[in-house]
Amino acid sequence: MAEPKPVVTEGLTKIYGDFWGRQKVHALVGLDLGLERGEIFGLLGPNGSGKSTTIKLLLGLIFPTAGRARVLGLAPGTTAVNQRIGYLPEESYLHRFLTGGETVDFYGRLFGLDRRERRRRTDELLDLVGLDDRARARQLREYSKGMSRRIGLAQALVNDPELLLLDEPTSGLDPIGTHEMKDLILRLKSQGKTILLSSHLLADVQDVCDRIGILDRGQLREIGRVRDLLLVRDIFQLQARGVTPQAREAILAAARKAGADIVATEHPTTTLEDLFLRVVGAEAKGRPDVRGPGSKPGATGAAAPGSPAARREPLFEPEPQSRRQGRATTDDHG
Amino acid sequence: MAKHARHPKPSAPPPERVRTSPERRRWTVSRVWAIALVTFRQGMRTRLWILAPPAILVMILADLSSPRFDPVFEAVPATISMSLLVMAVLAFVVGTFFATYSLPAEMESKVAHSVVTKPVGRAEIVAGKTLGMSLIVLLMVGCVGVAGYAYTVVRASGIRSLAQERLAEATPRAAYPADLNATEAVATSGPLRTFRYYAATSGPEISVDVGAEAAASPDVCWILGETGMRLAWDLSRTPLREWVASAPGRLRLRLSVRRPPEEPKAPVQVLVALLPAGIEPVRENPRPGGQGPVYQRTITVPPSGELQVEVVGPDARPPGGAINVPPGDNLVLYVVAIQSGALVGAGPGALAIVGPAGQELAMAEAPGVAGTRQRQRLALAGRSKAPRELALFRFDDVPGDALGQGDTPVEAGFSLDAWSPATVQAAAQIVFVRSDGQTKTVRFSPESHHSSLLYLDREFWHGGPLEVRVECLTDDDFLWLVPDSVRLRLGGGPFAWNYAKAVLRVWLFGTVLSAIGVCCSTFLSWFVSILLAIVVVLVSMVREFVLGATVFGDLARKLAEAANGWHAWAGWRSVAEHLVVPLPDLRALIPGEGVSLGQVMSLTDLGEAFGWAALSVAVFVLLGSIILRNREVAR
Repeated sequence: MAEPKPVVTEGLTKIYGDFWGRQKVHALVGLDLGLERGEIFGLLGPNGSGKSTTIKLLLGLIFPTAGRARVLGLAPGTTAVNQRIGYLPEESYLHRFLTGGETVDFYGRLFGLDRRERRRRTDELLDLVGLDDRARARQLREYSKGMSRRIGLAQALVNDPELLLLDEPTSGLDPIGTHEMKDLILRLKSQGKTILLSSHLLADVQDVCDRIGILDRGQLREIGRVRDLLLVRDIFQLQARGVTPQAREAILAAARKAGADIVATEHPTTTLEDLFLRVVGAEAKGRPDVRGPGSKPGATGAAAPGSPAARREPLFEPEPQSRRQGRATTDDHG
Repeated sequence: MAKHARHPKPSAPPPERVRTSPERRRWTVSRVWAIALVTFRQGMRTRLWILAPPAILVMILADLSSPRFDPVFEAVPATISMSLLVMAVLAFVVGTFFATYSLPAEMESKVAHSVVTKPVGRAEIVAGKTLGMSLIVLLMVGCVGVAGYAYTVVRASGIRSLAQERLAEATPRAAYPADLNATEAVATSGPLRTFRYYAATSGPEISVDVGAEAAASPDVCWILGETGMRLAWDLSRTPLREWVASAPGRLRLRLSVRRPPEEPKAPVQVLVALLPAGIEPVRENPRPGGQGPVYQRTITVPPSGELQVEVVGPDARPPGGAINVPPGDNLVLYVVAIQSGALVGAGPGALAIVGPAGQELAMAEAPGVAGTRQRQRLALAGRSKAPRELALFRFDDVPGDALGQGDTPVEAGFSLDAWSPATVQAAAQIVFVRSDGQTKTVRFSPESHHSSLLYLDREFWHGGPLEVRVECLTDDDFLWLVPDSVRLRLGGGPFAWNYAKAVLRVWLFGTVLSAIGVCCSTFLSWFVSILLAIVVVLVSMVREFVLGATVFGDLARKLAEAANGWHAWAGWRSVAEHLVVPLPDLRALIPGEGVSLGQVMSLTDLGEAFGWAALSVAVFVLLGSIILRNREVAR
């Protein structure tokens, strides 16, 4: 029997009511959605479009007004489903009085891991998200935003989930953190995990998602593969190095002769993110925000050379080049 | 969230809830413990423990500033009471306020989102929260308890020598054995003594000390006025109803009532009632000229003691002095003495039914005496001479080893808690009756709010059945008695263990409050949860009042009566009453006088308290988990 899709919704509708049960806000209307195994699906939309409502419905935090949802083939919110999923809330809503280590240990207990397994998993995950020993001994109330997102991610991964639901995963992160988060998402995908993320940061979604759905006022307006949706089919773009002005004129002339309408000719520009990473990336690797106040100079976001994390495999590898190239050009409508 | 005017698609399938999830099968202690541990850490790291030192300080200051009228007997009980009170208040504050805070705070801060999306059931969350709160209460109450114990020991250190001084002065002119015995006990063993009490198997039951008359006519049954006692003849096997039907108006009941010869010959009134079995006579005479049947008459007994009552059919209008035959098969004739202290008796053959044809059926057996069953509260009338009321307490079978073996120095005394409302000191008498009829009589003067200690020689009694008769010997005075008024008192275990048990009971009290708080917070905000939890606690503490004196009690009774109408099962009543106020009696979980007076809390009592607490916690956890399961955690 074929494995069920990780997420399926049929006519999923959520209408928030007031105290007396009167329907007030149509947060989600008739959402039909299906996720494939191993893909990264992005839910896009402005604030109030229904992204978080969709995720809450899939987690069983709220109940649908109509329609139904299936997560890993089961009703959402059941312990059988929760055993196999990971959830990163929009903000890292965690017990602020616990330390980083206690937080991961607590969630490990909820998954029924024994003491030895919890200890191993805690070390592994905190290394994975880049929190050192001093950071993991501090209470979460002392954490910066970036550290909170990291510990939030660690708790979401404590059970090595098949399906990850990430609500605004890059929210509040600086470019370095955003970059590392996106790298991690891609890495998790390479491990075969299915990821549903919601965001209103379009560039982030474009970088990592295989497919996207665009929600507006609770309705799904568009759905498809990122490449297909973004493809401008009536414009052809050629990129080449070492082109002399004479050669350029010859190419343009040949194109006009062939009947092409030249829209723009420009040198491509890089993205601000790439520029930022190039300029401050090296210095930022040793920031307290990432590694805690006691980090050694030169320690990277991935792992210090020779550390347990480095011995296993660095988490924050350089972003795949193929991904970056997708946004390395701009069109000039001159 | 933007408003949207459109309605859901008509083709959308019906919504699906999580209710059918297999959470119950996955219930594990480890997850409950994990949540409990986090809750405990939350309490500790939010510095909840900071309440303990001020509580200890309040306990000490309150104790030091309280007046002590008697430094020997009041210091230690008052100190213990104060420490238990402070612990109970602390358990109330922590159990109610923090328990109602934790869950709403997590929901408000959305921490609950991270928890409920893990494989943890709602019941596990509620149970874990309750357990965590219980651990916090245990820690807090334990801290104050240890401090309270140490403080009590310090306070008690000087009392022994004080008692010895008082004993040396008081022995020659001790007025009451209670004071003397208690002072001696404190002087020899110290104030931190605990006692184990054996309550009477039954009692108090009313009986009558008839005096010399009883010996002269042993077959006569006696009743005393104003005691609820009544003579009763069972007429179910007599042809009374047939005789009335065959010749209406010509049936008579002839009664021969006995009076004691030493009683003055003043007229005595009795109430004669012919009623179906199970219906008690009431002190209401029929209204003059009233309509309807009459089943009872007040009759003045002539000096001869001979009475005649005419009986007519059920529908006939009774002439003066006559009564109707009531409906029903099992008829009983009651005779009740009306005036206080009036003694009336009847022996075998005292009742005869005279038929329409002059035929006579004499009741050969002596009447039974009804109304002597165990009473919850009894006013024992005082009389200096017979006839006197007796309050009977029975100890069915006290094991001999409970009294100690051989020359084991075990105190074996009877504690009598009887109080007199009169200003004068009532004289009383207690008679111990062995199973072979041997008696031992002790006279004493019970003092209100003091236990009278009466020692019984071991040569006279060393276990086995024993009857204790209490009499009030002062005219126009009376003693209040309750079932626990007479108790057998033996030396108990160590004070520390007894105190620890009291602390455990306070902890149980706090645990139940925590469960109530967590349950309320599953569907309400913090502030409303606190209010509701406080209301629940208050109502549960006055549940007897609620059942007895408010509309809820009436509702319960009506429900019970309706239920009894449907099925003749007495259990419906208790079911109906508990349906109306399904709350535990929280007062039962707070150690009361027993501990503060040094009474050993038995393990049975502690076990019962554990049982009550476990049942209550289970009910509230179940209720909370059902509510939480059907509630949206997020908005």
